[in-house]
Amino acid sequence: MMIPASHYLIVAFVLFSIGLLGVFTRRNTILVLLSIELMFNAVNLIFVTFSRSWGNLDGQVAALFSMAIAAAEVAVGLAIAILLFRSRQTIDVAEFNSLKD
Amino acid sequence: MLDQIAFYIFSGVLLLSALLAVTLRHPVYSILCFLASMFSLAVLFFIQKAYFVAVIQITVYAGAILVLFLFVLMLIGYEKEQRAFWTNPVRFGFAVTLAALSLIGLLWIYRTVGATLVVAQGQAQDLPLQAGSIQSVGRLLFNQYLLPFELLSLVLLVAIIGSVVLAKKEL
Amino acid sequence: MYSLIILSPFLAFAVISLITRRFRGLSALIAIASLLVSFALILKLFLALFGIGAMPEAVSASWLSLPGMNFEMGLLFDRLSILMGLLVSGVGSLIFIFSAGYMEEDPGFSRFFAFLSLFAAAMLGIVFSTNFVQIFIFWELVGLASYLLIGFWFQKDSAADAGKKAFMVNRVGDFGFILGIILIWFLSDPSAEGMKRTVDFAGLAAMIPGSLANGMVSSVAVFTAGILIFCGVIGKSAQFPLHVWLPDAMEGPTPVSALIHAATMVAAGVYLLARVFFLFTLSAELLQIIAIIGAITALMAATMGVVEKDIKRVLAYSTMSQLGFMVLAMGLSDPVAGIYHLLTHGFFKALLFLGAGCVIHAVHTQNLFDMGGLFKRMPVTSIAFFIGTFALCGLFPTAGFFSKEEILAAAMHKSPVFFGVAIFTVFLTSFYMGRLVTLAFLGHPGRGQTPFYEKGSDPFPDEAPFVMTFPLIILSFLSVTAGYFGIPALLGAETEHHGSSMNLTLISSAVVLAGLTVSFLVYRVKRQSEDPLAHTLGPLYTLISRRYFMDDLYDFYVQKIQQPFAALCNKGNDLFVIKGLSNLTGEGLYRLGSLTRKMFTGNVQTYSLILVFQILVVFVIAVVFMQLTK
Repeated sequence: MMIPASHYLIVAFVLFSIGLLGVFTRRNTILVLLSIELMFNAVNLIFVTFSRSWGNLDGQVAALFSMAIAAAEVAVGLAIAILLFRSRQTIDVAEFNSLKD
Repeated sequence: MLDQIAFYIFSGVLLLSALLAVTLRHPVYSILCFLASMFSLAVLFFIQKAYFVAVIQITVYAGAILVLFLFVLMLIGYEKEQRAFWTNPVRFGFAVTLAALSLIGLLWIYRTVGATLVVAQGQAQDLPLQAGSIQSVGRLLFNQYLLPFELLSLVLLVAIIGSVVLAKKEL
Repeated sequence: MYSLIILSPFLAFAVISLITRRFRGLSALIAIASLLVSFALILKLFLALFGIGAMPEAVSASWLSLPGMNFEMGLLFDRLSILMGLLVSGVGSLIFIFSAGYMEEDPGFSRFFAFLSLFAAAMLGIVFSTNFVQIFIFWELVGLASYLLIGFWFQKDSAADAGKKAFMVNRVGDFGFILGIILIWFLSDPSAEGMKRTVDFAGLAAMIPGSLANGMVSSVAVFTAGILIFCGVIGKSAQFPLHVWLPDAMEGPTPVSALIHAATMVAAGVYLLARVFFLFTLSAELLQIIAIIGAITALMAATMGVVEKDIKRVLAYSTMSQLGFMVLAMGLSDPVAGIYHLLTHGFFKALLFLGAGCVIHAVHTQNLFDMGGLFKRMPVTSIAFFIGTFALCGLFPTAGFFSKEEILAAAMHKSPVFFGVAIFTVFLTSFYMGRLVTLAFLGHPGRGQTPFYEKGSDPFPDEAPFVMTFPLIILSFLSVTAGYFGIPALLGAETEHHGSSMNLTLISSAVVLAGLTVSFLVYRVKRQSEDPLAHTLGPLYTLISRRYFMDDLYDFYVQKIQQPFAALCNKGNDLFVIKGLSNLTGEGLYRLGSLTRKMFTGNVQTYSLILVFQILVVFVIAVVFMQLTK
């Protein structure tokens, strides 16, 4: 008996929420980026699930594209994190408040 | 049946390690848990006959991205974090609430429209073994999705140049 | 064409103030000419009364038309307005001519004539008004002109204050007046004959008696309207208790006193009484009150005139007293007598003031006790002044005698109390006028204190220039002969004409002569700078010379009651209500702003929280919306 798609979707939703929680909560910039990656993964799962349930491979292609983009984004994001560290000597997000009123 | 066991076990591992990744204070531990979740996700892809995606997941995510994270973490940010709860309880509570609410929101969306999108269960069995194989995916990539594929390579190029430029010591 | 009667002096005002300020002679010429134009036109109307030339219809043009209200401006031509107009323009012209000489050295010469013209225009406007609203407009204009002219020498604090006082006291009366107008407007019930509500005199005269008779309006309402309108009269004609401005109004130049506060403006109140008499006859209580106030004013003013040292102030009190007589006449239901006295009074009071002006021009002082023996040096002025005095006292055969007789006759027939008061006032009138004349003109210099100008320090008083004595002569002539013009007949007095009996003539003449003689005896012998009456009357003298403390009373009221109340309102309303509201709004917005400001912590995670929160909110709204429109 196949596992119904809804199960996968629920897992994906929960994963997404966990990632969201991480984004809100973490103080280390790099770990915030990590949480964003979790969200990406959840999305990929949803893509693949729908690909299965529709019976074509478009979803998998979308998942591939998503992964590639995620990789690019991580590269640039981490480069920015390095720059931040160079100028502020810290990567604690709580310290980056120069936009404060 | 094997599928079912695999699903339950590995989705459990996925969620647990994701939760740990988000919660643990030591950054390296956090990344390692992330690694675990990547692997279990790959298994989940595997079960759904998305073989190529599963492999790419391991190669790219667990291999490249994760290692990159570790590198950068070693360079900077190797301190133990403070517990999120104590830094700002209000914000923490708000964050948890919001995450829970968004979960509920997503479920609600599924409830209202998801059923129409998901086709009948039986159809998945019709996917042949090679459904998610590299040939079939490649055929799709180089026929219908050729343009996005080429553009993607451009994006990757830009990302490379960008990160190199950004991270240089002097221009 | 007849609107020129009012427009001509008004134009003069405009031209003088805008164009010919620097050309003194020209300004005077324009002013005098404009008023003479009015006089000529009114004369034409006067002749038409006797059938010479055509009498024009009353003109009326709609001026302000709102649904349910229609206000007109027009010209009313009847005996009363024509006679009054003759007085205003005729005496006015003479006074204008006089002013050309009197104000010769004054730097504000042109300004004076501009204001005089404005006043003349406004006064003629009152006289020829057809309805209440129009008369009110010109009423206020006259008040304005009076303010400008009293405070003409505004550099002097006392003059500026006097101008303000006049205007403010007038305003109090006018407040009652306008309430009365509004009430009367309501009383002119439209449902009666399909006629519209009106403030027109003719219309009201037709409507109100009928409305009262058939019970559409209550007598209380009529009484109230009458009393309120009478308030305006009290203010304008300086009756008790709003009389306090008239003595101080003497701060203005003498021609002003002559014109405004003797012959015309203060008479406007009496004129109004005559105009609206149809209303007052409807209420016996109202007439009673009018008569009482008139009598009180007459008596009170006469007593104050007895103790006054300033020549112009004596004449001011005399005016007040005579106005009281006129008002009394109105209250005794004899408007013809009142207007008759108004006209003759105009002549001889103007004469007296102008004569006083000549005197002041010559000796440069206004204190009676500094004068004396002017008869020798200023014969023309003195004789004119004597004639005026006799007319004022009501001595046969002057015009004043005839008009006063009418009033005394009415009093005698109506009520012994009023008659007693009137006769006593006549005595006092003769007394203070005799006192004035004796102190100023008679007496031998050398016996007692010599007047300062005898000592050779100041220029010797000489007879005034012809331009100033000419009006005196004319007015003297009029003061004597006006009694023979048959004015009562002209005014249409058929009913209630009390012929004065021989007894009355004898009594009044005796009283007058007694007053004159006594004052002559008292003041001719003792020529000191103090009034001998001060010793005789003692505390009574103090009471009277302090004007019965009425000024102090008003002062107290304004200082202690009105101003704190106004300050309280200011504080209460402005500070608490208005400022409070604006503060509240500002404060509230500020608080809201600072609350919203707390969002901008600069922390990215906070921003992301807010972002997701907003997305959720939108999502919830969308879901709710979808549910509702299912």
